[in-house]
Amino acid sequence: MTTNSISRAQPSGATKTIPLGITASVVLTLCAIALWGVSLSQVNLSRMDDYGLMSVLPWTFYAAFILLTIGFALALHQPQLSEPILLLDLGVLILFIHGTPQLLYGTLRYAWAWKHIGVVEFIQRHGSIDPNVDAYHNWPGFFALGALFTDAAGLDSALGYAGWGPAFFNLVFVGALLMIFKTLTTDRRLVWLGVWFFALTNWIGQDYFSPQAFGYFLYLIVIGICLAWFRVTTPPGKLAIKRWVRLDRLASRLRDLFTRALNSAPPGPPSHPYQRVGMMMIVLPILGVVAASHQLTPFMMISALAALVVLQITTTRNLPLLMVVFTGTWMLYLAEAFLRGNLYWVVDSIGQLFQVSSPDLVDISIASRDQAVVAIVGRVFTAFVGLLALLGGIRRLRAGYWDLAAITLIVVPFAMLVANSYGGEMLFRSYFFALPFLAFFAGALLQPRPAAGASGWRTAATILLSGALFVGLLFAYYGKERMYFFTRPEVAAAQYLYDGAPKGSIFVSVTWDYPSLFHNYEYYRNAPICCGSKQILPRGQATLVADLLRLMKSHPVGYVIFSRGQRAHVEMIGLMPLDQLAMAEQTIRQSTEFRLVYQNSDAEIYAWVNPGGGVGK
Amino acid sequence: MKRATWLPVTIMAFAFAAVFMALADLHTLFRAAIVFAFLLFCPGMAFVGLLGLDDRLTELILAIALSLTLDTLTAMVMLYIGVWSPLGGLMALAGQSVVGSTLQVALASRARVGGTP
Repeated sequence: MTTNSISRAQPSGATKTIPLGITASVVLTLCAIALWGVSLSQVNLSRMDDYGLMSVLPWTFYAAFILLTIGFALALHQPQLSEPILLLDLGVLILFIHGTPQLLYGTLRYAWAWKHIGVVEFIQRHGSIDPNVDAYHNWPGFFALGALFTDAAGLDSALGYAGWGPAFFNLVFVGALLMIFKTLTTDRRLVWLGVWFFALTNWIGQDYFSPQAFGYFLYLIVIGICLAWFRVTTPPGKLAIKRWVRLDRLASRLRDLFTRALNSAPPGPPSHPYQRVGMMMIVLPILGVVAASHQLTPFMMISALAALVVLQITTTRNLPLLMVVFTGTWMLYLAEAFLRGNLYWVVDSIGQLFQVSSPDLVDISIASRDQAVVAIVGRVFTAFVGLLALLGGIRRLRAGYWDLAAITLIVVPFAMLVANSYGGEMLFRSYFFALPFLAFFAGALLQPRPAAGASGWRTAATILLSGALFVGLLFAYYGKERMYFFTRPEVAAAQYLYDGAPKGSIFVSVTWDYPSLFHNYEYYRNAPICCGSKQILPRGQATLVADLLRLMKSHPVGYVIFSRGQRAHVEMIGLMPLDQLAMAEQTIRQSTEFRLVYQNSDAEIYAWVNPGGGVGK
Repeated sequence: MKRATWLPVTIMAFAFAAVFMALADLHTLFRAAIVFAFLLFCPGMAFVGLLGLDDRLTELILAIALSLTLDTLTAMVMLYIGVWSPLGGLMALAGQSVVGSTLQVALASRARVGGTP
């Protein structure tokens, strides 16, 4: 119920009064915004250590979060909900978490996000794609969208707005989750608490300017539409189940489960047949766009839709098949160039259950001490979220709610672990796709059933649990910022390189951690030498110059880039001892083969001009 | 002014403003704001508005999802048939937004004539 409906519910002639709790909540939110604004001016990024952004955030930032949380908890546990206030609090929370880095840095985070700018820029320059360049050109939906936004708005580059990707995507995730959670429970407090917890536990970092964030949003929308407008309303008969399950007892049990789940689920929103037709007309193009925009999301979509159909939750029986057709057609015809060159490892990675590698997964044995703490807290935090969800699920079950849809949507993404390792990232993506429903159950721990009226202990528990989750989020999400963010001098150095290097040049760096591939990216080759297939360091210290020249010999010019972010990366992750890196820098500096061509406070660039010309690639 | 009237009018206003600014080739922050707002909300809202949903937040989030989907489809069609034209894409999206909005107005006036609230 909103404040408007509260007012309407009052007897005629009564004065419209705003409850004290709501007034206090608004005041607290406004104070929180003011404190947050003050905190932004007190941050000195150069002091950031291996605990990431939290090492430089002033106390006012934390105070702002506490005030905001108290305001949210007060608004949540009023006798009558004020949803606009809760929405305001959620928006402010997202601004605090995802707007703060962008406002402080003013540059795009994550080295890999810069390449996404480069793909958009490729489309802007050529007005086409080249499927032979890389995988992005085989699933170009998101990048075509980015190019349309950038060109139509009269901007030169997507860099001007891409940094706001996390804030934007989290806002729309929250909108989609509100839609989904309203189909899981009639308890509006649980709906808002679940979404609040989602915002506090989304540490995976897949919400930046990327096809994954875009695909994830559309995935949530499709799930939300299916659960709201295409819900099964009567449980299947035993005979219908026995067509698929031969065992009599199992069929009975299944029917019992479906009936309980159906009876405890809230009714969908009232809808006319033309609305359902309209919803299907929204879903169909979305499925097509998802198939054309991302490699993984279509498979998550197929699995989730199929599971919802099989478990008698939604009536959209043809959607999983249709998505299979869309995905298969796209892969066989429009992503054929990628498949031709990569099918061997895609097939190879099927069933690679324990192949896990990602920037999010740090080897604690070699990472810096602070970074090891960050990694351990991050893992404990993730386990804690899982534990909260488990306990919340048990409380819901004991309260008589068989949340079959939510449980299904947790299990399905993790089941995908068996299907493919997705370059070692599947565990993180599975968590990301399951997270909304984990957060829903975490909320259910405090609010398992609808409870009317204000509750002191629930308010206190909401504040405490939010505080605990926020601490975890600070470590898990902000803990690697020293290597994820780039200073303006680093960006200036990268711009020097990409604006002026002759076509066909090779850019050698110690690690991949610098702004790269955002401009003219198809003309250059990148080669990090501390990791990956071109690894030279740390073992090749003695023959470094000779090895570099061998690497560069087929290119007209070779550049070696040293930068603050790369040093931070080496130090934090423990890729090699820092003195080894310093020695490599010294070797290049003293070499007669290389010439210093650019230098600022955070980066140096050395160039080697190929006497033979080099043909480039 | 009733919502059934002001919403389609606003969509059409944004459509015309976005196309006008792109045609005039203005390079201002104002153009970026108008074009972004148009591309983000209008193509989807023009059609989601026809569904008569009660929940405004759901309507808004569906409008954003459908807008981004239609934008992407438009961009991809241009990309694959080899006629990349951001202005053309913008005009196509503006055109379909105007069609959807006009339908909203027509349905609203029919409902008024028919006596439906």
